[in-house]
Amino acid sequence: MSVALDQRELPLLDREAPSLAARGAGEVTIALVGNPNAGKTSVFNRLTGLRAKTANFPGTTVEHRRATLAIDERWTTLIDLPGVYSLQPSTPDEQVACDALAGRLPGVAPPDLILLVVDSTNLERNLFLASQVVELHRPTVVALNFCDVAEKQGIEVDVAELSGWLGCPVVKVSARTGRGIDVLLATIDRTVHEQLRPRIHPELAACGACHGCPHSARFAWAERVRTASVRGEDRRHGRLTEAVDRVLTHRVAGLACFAAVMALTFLLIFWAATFPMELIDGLFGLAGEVVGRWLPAGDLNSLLTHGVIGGVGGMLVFLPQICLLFFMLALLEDSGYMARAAFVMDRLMHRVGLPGKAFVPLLSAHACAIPAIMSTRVIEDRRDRLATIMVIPLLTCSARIPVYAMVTALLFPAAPLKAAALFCGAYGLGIAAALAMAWLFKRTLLKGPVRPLVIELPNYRMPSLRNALLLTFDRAMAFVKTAGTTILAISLVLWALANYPNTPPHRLPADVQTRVTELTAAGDEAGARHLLEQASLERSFAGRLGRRIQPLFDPLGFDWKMSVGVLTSFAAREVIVSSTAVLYGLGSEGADQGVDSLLDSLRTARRPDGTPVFTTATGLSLLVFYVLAMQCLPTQAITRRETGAWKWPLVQLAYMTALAYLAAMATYQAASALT
Amino acid sequence: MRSGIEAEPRLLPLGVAAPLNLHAIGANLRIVRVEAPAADAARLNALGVCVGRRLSVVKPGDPMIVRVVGARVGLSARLAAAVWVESTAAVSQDEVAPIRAAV
Repeated sequence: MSVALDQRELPLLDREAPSLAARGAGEVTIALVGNPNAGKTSVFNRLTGLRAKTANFPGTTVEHRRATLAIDERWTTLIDLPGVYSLQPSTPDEQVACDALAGRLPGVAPPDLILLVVDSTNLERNLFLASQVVELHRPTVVALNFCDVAEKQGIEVDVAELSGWLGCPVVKVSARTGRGIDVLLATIDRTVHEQLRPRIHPELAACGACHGCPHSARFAWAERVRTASVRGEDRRHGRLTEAVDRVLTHRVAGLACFAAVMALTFLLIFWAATFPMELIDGLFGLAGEVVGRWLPAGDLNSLLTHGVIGGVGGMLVFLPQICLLFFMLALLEDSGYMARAAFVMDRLMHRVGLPGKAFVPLLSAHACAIPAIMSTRVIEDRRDRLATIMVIPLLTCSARIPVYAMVTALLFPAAPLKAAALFCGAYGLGIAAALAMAWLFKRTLLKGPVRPLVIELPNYRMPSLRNALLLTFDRAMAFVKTAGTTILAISLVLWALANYPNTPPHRLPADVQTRVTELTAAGDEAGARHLLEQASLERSFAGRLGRRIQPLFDPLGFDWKMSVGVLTSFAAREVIVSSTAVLYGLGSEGADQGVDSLLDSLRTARRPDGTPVFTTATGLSLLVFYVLAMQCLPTQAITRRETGAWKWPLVQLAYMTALAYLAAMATYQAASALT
Repeated sequence: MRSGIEAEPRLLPLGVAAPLNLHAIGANLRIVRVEAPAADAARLNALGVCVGRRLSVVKPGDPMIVRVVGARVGLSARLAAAVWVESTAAVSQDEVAPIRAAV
């Protein structure tokens, strides 16, 4: 943080500063707080829509979403704090939430208003946090979320009564349907304007004064408030959840269901993603063709068609799959199933020496290792946390999907079932390797017992499509941004490496020139052009570099182009796809066809001796290598930050590279022997 | 392989305090003490597994599911062994009165 920023932010740290008047009207900060599963994010999304941005709290690695919007002509910043069960933090995320509420977080203005989101179907437990929040004595509004679900279950909440007990305004809302949001906004506006602070109920004030367990007194208070303000509670919904749970949390059936859910998710991703993928592939093919035809042949033409359109197109074609995966994971999370998955996995996790809480980070790692590593902060024990961080990059993140998709499409172009099975197998390999390595780490470098499981199992709910779509949009934008910057830059460098130095035909060796003349005489124009391009590429920088390192990758079945791909994807593994698009696209392009799609070029690629580059053995070996190899610089940086030492990212890089190399070699040799 | 903390669940005699992991499904229980290490105890307390709360076992085993403060909580048998409970039916009015008074 810069000095200038510190100075500007310093006055805001003064806890005595009158918040609104001093800063003048027009800038109001509202902090959203609530139990996990109380629908806090739904309320935030309902209020802010697409305006939200993901950011870190200054000086921390804790992520949150924030948005600025006008509430009754006042510019208002909404901050979505991490979910908490109480204001006694036990994890860094909870610590940040508590500090932000109390105005103790450096660089973050103390909130002018706290918007407490409460689940009306689980009032008593939520009231525990409410009792602590109102005691902060900041202007507070309570949003009683899921009011539609509560009514359907026959739960009737007396808002006036509840408001009296909490000493602050209470508004019934349903973030899902949008009901009550206008009333909520009006109440927020009035409470901020008049700086209405909660009046602490005398019975609540007594809780702090009484001796013995402070939690116990608060829960007793919460029970009293619930009894006084809720009528006609029925347990049918809870019983339904419990009936479903008898199957989903069963020792055997639960695991089988989990496996089925994941398999179904990936089958759906495969089936549904085919159509937009073909569309995107077609569009980029068309764009390449049009540009190739309108520009005069030469370096600029080649740069645009192969470098830019080929590189970025080869990457963006996988966007539909990535979006679908995030969408499905968001739906599963929102429905309440993820907690069950963690529950049934706890037993298995203990066998490899990890706590049940490591499961959620490990599952998130299937989207991206970076947020997953950051979310390991829910694990209290340092050894458990380190072991989890060390194995997270082995799990299949979304950046691997393009690689898997490329290989499966190459090996099984017309057999979606086989392709899905191979895809699942790659995921399985990643999971198995992660668990095995965790077991090894917990028995060697990070020896120690496991922290026991405590997790809330929320009622099952109809997941919100709106939330899932917003999350997917967020992730998709981040992915497109990467594709448009880092991957574009790497594509351009690769294009340059593959095109320079340019060898004119008369400088090629005599035998190549003779063969070209022979092919031309025989009328095989395409064959002659292919040979010329290949000979020229072999003499480029990329060709020379690839040839030098290729012997290293020979036991894995990689040709020199794939070896170049491995090198260029060191910083970001998904670059292998755009690299191969550029490298193979150059060698197999027919002048009358414009840009071939990546898959076609790969399928027709030949070694100098005429055998196909992509045999089953090579494909499997490439797949295994990319399942297990580190190949992600940002992840390494996050590991360094989260562990506080360079030792851990280095251990990570070393063991993963060795594992990937050896496993890919074994795969290639075994598959070659069998086929 | 069954560990020591995961003994066969059964109904205990009324009024006898015993670790939670030894209780059968559906039992009406009251928490009498939580002997977990401070960090685990804080987590348990925040979710409602706290002295004086009523609790019932939804699913015994390891991990087990309990219903407390109107919500379900999954917890490992190792932690459940640190939560001492007794049957509510056996709690006499004399024992309940001081708790009520404190509230």
